[in-house]
Amino acid sequence: MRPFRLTLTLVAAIALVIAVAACGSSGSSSSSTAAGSSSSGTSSSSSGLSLAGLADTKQSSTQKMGGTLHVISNEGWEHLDPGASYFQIDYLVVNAVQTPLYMFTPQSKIVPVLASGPPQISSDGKTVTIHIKPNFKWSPPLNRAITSKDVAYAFQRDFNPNVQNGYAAGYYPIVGAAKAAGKPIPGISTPNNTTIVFHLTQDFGATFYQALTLPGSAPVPPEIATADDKSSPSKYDQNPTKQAFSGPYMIQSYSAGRNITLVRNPNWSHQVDGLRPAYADKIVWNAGADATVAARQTLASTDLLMADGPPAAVLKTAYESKKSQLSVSPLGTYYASLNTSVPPFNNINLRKAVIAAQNREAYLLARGGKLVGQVATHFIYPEVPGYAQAGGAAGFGQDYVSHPTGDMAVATKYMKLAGYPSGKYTGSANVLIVGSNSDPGPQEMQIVQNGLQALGFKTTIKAVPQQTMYSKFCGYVKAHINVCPTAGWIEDFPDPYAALYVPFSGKTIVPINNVNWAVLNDPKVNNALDSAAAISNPSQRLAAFAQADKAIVDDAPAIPEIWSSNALVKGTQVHGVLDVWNDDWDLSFSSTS
Amino acid sequence: MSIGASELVAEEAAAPFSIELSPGGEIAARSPLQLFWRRFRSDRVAMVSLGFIVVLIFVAIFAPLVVKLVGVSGPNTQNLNSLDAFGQPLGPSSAHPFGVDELGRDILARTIYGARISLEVAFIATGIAVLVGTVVGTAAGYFRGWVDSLLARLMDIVLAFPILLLAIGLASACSLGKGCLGGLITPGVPTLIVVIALSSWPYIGRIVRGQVLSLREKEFIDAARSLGASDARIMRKEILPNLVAPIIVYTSLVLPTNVLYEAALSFLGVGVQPPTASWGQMIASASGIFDTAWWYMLFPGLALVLTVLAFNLVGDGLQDALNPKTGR
Repeated sequence: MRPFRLTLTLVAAIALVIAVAACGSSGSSSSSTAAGSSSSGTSSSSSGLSLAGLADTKQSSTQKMGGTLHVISNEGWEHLDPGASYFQIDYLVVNAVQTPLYMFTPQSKIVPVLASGPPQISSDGKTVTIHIKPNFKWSPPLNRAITSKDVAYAFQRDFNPNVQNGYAAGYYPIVGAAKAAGKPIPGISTPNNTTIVFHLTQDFGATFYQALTLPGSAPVPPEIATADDKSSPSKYDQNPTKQAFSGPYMIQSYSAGRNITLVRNPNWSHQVDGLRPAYADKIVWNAGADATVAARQTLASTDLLMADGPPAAVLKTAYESKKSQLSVSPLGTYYASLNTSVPPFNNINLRKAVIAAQNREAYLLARGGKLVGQVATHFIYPEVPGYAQAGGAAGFGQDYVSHPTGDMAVATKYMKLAGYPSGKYTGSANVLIVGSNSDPGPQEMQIVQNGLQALGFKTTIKAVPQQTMYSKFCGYVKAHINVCPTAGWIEDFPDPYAALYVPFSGKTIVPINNVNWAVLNDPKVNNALDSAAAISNPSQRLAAFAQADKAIVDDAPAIPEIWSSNALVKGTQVHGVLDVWNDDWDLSFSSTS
Repeated sequence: MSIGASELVAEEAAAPFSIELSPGGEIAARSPLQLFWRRFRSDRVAMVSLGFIVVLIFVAIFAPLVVKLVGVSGPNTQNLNSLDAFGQPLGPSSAHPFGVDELGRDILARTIYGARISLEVAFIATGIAVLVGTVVGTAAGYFRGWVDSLLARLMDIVLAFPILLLAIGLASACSLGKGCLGGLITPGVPTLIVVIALSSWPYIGRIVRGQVLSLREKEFIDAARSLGASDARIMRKEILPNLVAPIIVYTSLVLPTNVLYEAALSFLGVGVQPPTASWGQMIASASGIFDTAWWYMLFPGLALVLTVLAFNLVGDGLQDALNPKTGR
């Protein structure tokens, strides 16, 4: 009688959830599970949902070579040009067909791949010397050895406005790079074909090393890309089958947003690479499927991997009856930014009141419940180093983030401090909420709205596709969007710099494609972030970032919604290996059986 | 059943057909209204449907009271403990007889409040359409010539408009800030009303025009004209009373179409602003999880079907009662 037992388990789980919620809102006793732990298990241990019996997503000795790996997804690819690629799904392909200087293993250990060893960082942190392996070769038809000049050209491209790289300015502070605009960068030299030297403008070597795992450090042959890079946007991105490949696979066919086929690169060898096993002979990926249909199809299949997460309803089915085909691992964080630059939320006490009035548990349920996350209290999330230093699950204890289901008494206190003695907003502002129109976006917008209306705010909701939300509304500073509740952030590499700097430093505010959605520009936060970034001693660095995190929470620039986990589903036979740092399958490590 | 314009010309309509609405007015023993009511009352299906509509209108007007009496939570109250551990809505229970939606809001309460939007939009939009359609149709039919050509072509143009696309465009254009046309069309209900009225007035207009074209040639109009009555007076006092029967019948047919129209627009996300409940928007949200939360789609869907059916049946009854010649 399996269905019967499962029903009972669920009822018990619900009871537990309610009990836990009740405890959380009534007392100040902090949860003890969180401190110091960064594994996915803790986030759901209190929910009554067990992660035991989930799919094995680690590399295993039983994996076999050969066969065709089938992948399916709802979302398509944005950019497969290694210089432009900056999207979770794109990384699956780019990391299988290109080779950055360094890469993370599926378990987030940084290893040299194109580089022959760790970088030599000068004592002032400003000069970084890297040697590359001499025996890496480009795919046919180019067939020549990969040199340090190809890497230098890749960096030159990263700063070429035609390539549209999203992170180079933040992570690669190379001398003269900002003004290079597609020309050779003065701060990069290549003394010989296997050596590249970077001269940095500041003490940044420690962070720079980790940022070299991004695809922007993967070599690009100038003889193929130079002509493409002259047009805006660069044509190197348009037909990825014409690229030169340095990874275990080559792109054989590509139809934007529809499908992509990868085949083995004959010039690549595992012995030279040292990291990627590349089990499958061929990888066929179909995108654009309806998320629910694709998730069901995957659960019913033997050989499919689904590259994006199943909707909550299918997640429930998977957990109840196909647990061995389900994987859950930490993803990143979601928060609702409150625009600090325009009324009404340029008033810090009003922001604190709004946070206090929010029922943040609702966001968790909207995203699929405790299996896929926990209520957030600050901005360094569990999988990022520094989480423990930032107080773990309890955070820093500010009263406005301490009540996951909301506390109107605290909200009223801050409304009074904000100058609204009745505890209700009496101003004329109409709060504009913009978010994604696909699930759970509409729910999240109504959760924010519910809390705002309880404080007397008038609100307007605008639902648009997630990409439009970023490009035309929340990322467009002049649009002055008050609340962006469906924005989320995943770190580019496991370091608090990557979790905090870009979304919260005032120095990163740009007119278009802005990711500091709260438009927070507080000198205290900026200085805390800058000084923490310059520290290379690991424990001092993490402590400094924790202090910066506290300064950010003190500013209340966003409603911390949840620290999210990502659920993924797979077919019964396929062995999917998960990149913990990208929270998605690694195609070079996954195998058909 | 669909009806052609000619069928609507009732025998009695040739004689002046007046309805005394003022309470003080004296109703003659065999007035047309009385005749109509006698015939309508004998149509049981129509009477039951009318009863349903009356109840629905009362429920819509007194929605807060009804929700309180039934004892369920309000339409916008998010009950998190009505969601399971995966954030999925739970089905019918004693606390929530119709179950809850994906935010834990009571479906019964939202269905009741949804009736408000449906009826409000349908009645106001139909009212505007009838008013505009009657005025334009009467003018076109009465003056003929270039006025008729202009107005009739205008109706043709409006009928040729891809109205759903217009609605979606209008809604996105007017959904931010203070709306468009200087605040005349604000997002939500006003947009819905404008779009629906815009698309349904030409139907009324065409019918009225056809009627007026034939009426203006009748002897009593000639008589009025020879006695020196002005055009405005002839239209108001001589022609309009003869249009009441066709207008009532057509209104009763346009009304349920507009209820469906409102639901369709809300389904497409053009309609009311969240968190306001409307049937079309509920059905749209439910469509993603209909296989795990059947109640979410069933109850608003049922409400919509019953309402439209009731309006259609009343419309049929009205037509039979006002125009016994067509009979059953």
